[in-house]
Amino acid sequence: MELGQSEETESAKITATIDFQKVAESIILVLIGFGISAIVIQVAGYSAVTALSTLVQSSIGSPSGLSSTLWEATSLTMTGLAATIAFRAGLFNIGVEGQAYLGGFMGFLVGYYFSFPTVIEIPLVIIASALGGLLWALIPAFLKAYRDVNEVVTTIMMNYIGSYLVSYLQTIYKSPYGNAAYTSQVNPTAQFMRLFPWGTLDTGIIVSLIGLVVVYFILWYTTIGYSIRVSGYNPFAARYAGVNPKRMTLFVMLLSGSLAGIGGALFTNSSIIGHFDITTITGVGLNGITVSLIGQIHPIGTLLGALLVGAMVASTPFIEIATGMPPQLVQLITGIIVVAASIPGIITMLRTALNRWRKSTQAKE
Amino acid sequence: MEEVNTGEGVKIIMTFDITLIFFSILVPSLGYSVPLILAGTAEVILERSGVINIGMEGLMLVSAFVAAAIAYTSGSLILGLLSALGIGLIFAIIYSFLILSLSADQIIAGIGLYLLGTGASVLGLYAVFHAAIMPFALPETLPGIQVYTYGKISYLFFVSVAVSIAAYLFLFKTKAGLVVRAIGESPEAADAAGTSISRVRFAIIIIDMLLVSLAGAYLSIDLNPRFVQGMTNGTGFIALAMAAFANWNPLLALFGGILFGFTEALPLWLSVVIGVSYPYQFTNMIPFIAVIVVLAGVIRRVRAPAAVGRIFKRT
Amino acid sequence: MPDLRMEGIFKTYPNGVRALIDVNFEARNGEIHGLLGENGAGKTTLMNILYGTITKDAGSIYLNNRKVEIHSPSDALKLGIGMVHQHFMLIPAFTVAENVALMESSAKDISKKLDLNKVKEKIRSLSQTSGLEVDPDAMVESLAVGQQQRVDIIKLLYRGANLLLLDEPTSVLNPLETRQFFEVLRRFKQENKTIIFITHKLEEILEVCDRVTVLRRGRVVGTAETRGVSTKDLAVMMMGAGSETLLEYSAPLRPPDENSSVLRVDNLVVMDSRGIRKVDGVTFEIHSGEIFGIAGVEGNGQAELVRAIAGIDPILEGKIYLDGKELKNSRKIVIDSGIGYIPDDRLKWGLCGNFSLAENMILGVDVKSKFNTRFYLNYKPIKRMARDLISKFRIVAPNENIPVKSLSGGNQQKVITAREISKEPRVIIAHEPTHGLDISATRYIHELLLDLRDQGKAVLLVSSDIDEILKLSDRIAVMSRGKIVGISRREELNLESLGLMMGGVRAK
Repeated sequence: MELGQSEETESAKITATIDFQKVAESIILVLIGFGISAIVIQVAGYSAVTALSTLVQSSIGSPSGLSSTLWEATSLTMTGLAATIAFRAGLFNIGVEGQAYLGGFMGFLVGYYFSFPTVIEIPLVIIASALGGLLWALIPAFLKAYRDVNEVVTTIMMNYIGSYLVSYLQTIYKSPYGNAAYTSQVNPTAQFMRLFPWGTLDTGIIVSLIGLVVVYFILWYTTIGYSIRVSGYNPFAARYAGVNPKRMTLFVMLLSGSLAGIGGALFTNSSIIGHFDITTITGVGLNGITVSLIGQIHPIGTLLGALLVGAMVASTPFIEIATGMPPQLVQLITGIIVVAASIPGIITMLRTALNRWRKSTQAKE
Repeated sequence: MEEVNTGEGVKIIMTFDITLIFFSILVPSLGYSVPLILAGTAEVILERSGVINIGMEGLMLVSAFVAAAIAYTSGSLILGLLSALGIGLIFAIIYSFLILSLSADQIIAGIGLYLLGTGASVLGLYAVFHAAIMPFALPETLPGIQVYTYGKISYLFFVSVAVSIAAYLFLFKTKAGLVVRAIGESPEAADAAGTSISRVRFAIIIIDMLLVSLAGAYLSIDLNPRFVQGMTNGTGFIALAMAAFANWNPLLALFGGILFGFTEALPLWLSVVIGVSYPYQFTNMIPFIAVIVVLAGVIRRVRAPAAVGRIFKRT
Repeated sequence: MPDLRMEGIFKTYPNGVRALIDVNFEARNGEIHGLLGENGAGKTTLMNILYGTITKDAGSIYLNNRKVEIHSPSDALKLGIGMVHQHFMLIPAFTVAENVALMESSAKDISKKLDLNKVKEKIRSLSQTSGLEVDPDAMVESLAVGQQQRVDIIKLLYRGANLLLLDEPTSVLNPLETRQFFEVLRRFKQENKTIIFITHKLEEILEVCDRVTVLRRGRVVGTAETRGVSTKDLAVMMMGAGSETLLEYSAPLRPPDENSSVLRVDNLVVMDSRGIRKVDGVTFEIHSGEIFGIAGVEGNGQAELVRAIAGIDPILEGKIYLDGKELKNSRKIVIDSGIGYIPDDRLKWGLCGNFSLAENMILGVDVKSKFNTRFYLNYKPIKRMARDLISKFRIVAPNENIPVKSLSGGNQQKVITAREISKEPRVIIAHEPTHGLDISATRYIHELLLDLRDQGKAVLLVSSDIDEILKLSDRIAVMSRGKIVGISRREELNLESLGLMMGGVRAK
């Protein structure tokens, strides 16, 4: 009889069902993130209260703020879905960042070279950006499937390579206005048009919502999605079920890359931006990972997580004005959330700790 | 030496001076190699005990910031260095608690620490200097050997070489090192032999984090005496791959560190000394592409400590 | 020179299994004391408690009449207690000397140089005095299993252990090595070491032990001087007097069709990750309408055999035939060929705990043919099927949507069994099908298996539970050390002869 340890790296057993325990867990993760950050902020000499109130006010306190929050959440949803589907298969696709860069650039290229009517152009943008992300996931996917090379390091390397690559390509297509800081504009038909006169929200959100439905459908209503969930939950059961691990890895990594790529294009081709500027997409990939973890790696949770992180990201310029803190504040908070998310069974742990504390205070009396 | 000015303003320096060519790449290579050797050796030791530290990059950034900030405000480089080591100690305690007591997932915790470190370093920058960048560079750097006009070989380079050698001796020539390697290969066997897995791993995590924070501090108070956002630029992740490249042998990590340091010094050298003008982005990619090539096993098949990343629990 | 006394030991595992119930055990200074019992009897648990790898729930341990507390192997080693586990605690990538050096008493001095030469010398001298020849410079992974075991023992001698716990030490040795091993043990005896020898091999107990204690289902059955007992007596003690079990066998309604070989295994060889042949040339065939039982203590290759037939593990040599046609060694093909498989560890292999009951009903099921769908997964028919199966198999569950881990063990097993049966397979493999189940669940599963047989299916039953084998099987094979040591018809066997076979004594 074998010892009960998975032969692969023992990853957090991330599970399938939505239930109130999971929701509570997510809330606790976020509270821990905000709580500890608040302490750090205060120690650094800033006002956590001001930051929080600015966050709330600028993200949901006004129509334009809400619109911007949703706009940020649009891309974050896609990269979050990319991370989610990878996690569900037990894979760590940290390369969402680089895949988003490539996808964004492909979206730009389509919009730059082609000027078909929107009804053709936009799907073209989506396909091209998906392809860009997919290609960027190809090497790590093959290395993992056929050489069992850990995908964490390879995808991170691809992030850096991708960042340099698009920085270079950016200069080739440089805009006549911006000192090569960004590219020329894409054709209007390739842009996701603004939905409301206030804020930045554009039609890209439709793509994200469709993506959400598609991922949800794949995971729970297709045979391959079932195999994905089994592979991530219990690799032994996957072997019992006859899942081909190589094909599974390839499929999931490439799908994940495609989703991330689309996420990048949702920024690039957004009418608010309309050109490729790497500074606009930086962080959307990594934030996607956080979004997925907050959402308990479930598509709906991912959406909610995207809203939360989107709110944070959208409010950073205002927070900077109000308190002086840099946009990297978001990374501080999300970092703590991710660390908290790495602890399995955090609720049971807190509960037992709470009980023990209660017992000890009772004993004293 | 001839200088020819072409129409596009690219200088072509024709030189027959071998010493110039050689030293102008050697010195910067050694300079860039220091954090790689330190962090790479640290990761080798750590993975030998069965633990991975994905968040090295974050720790390096925070250490870099703390070292530079303290050095700047206090005027003492040594104080900056020590503060950075203090940060390493704090990270060690946090990480140990997470993965040893709470059985947290090492990869996710590592990514969290990376994000946290990046965010905290910039937040600190703003908090102390109220600007997106340190206003002035540090007036001085750590001492070292000046090599004519080519630059300085920091004393920390020799320290890092010593660390690498010491790590080798520790792992392979001492009894404690044997225990560490045993834990990384088969924690069950080590446990049955009476070792305390958590105690040993805790000690190794501390050593690892101290070395990594030293590497980070070096970046900001020696190599480039100023803290710049994101200045580690992937060094922490390259060091991760170096453990595999070095076949988990600290001496090969030394060699790998110098090699990757060379790839980092390459761009500037190629364009200034040799006069080749590639877009800098492509030469910047070289270290990262090299990592992937190495990991793909094109170079050679290596064998990891069998228990890396696995959580150990007595049944 | 240790006198050991364990009093009132209780241990219940977190999953509810009561491993030890009020066990009293003592071993005298300088004796070789055998610990005998079937799988799950509690022998290994008892010794692991003594060695500190498991904590006891209640009871005391006395060494030389002094009460001792043992919470870790480190404590045990300090007291002079050493254990050689069934799965050796060696580091394959290290040399023999390095593995032994690990055992130095835990005064860890960081700068203390690793003097392997001193270690090697001591190893050589220990080799001489004990008769255990080892090469200190050899890499452990290159050593044969018998040699590896010697290293494990040398480790303990190096640390000065004088109370040795040996868990099934001869399971990996051939007869010659076993003989040599016994010589070593007798030498230890002369040095006044105390040895506790866990085994299920009856003849070995009589050959080398002074006394033997028999455990059964967590309780002590008795202790006896080996001079006064026979293997027959031991077999009865080990398995309990049981003419009742003989009566329970229900012969099939129709005799199995001797000519229809449904599943045939031909000279199968399966290797494990260490390069050991866990299945070493196994040949047998199963007919439709019969239950073919493979008995044997766990660890003799049954798991590897089962997984190889199921297509999960690769086959090194040999072939498998289904209805005369070669069956390829791939899980997908085995599933599609209509072979059901009930694995031994339900939550590890056969279920996804957090998934709903309905979702588990399609694990390892060819949805393409069953629900006529390639891509789309429609839960309505799946849930309907789940509800049908719940009622048909009387699974105790509120509905088909609850996570399967919240079911009791028996109901979980019913889920798996129901699923496999509903595939309408020609062959079903049942590996430890009632492991850890209560009486009513066990009885139910047994009825299901008998039912399948009477429907004309072929059932491969692999179990370490002798009662189960005797109750259900029409033909019985015993597996020992990767080989089949005998195949008999049920009528030709009785409890004693079977017990003897399982105890390694060849059937006469």
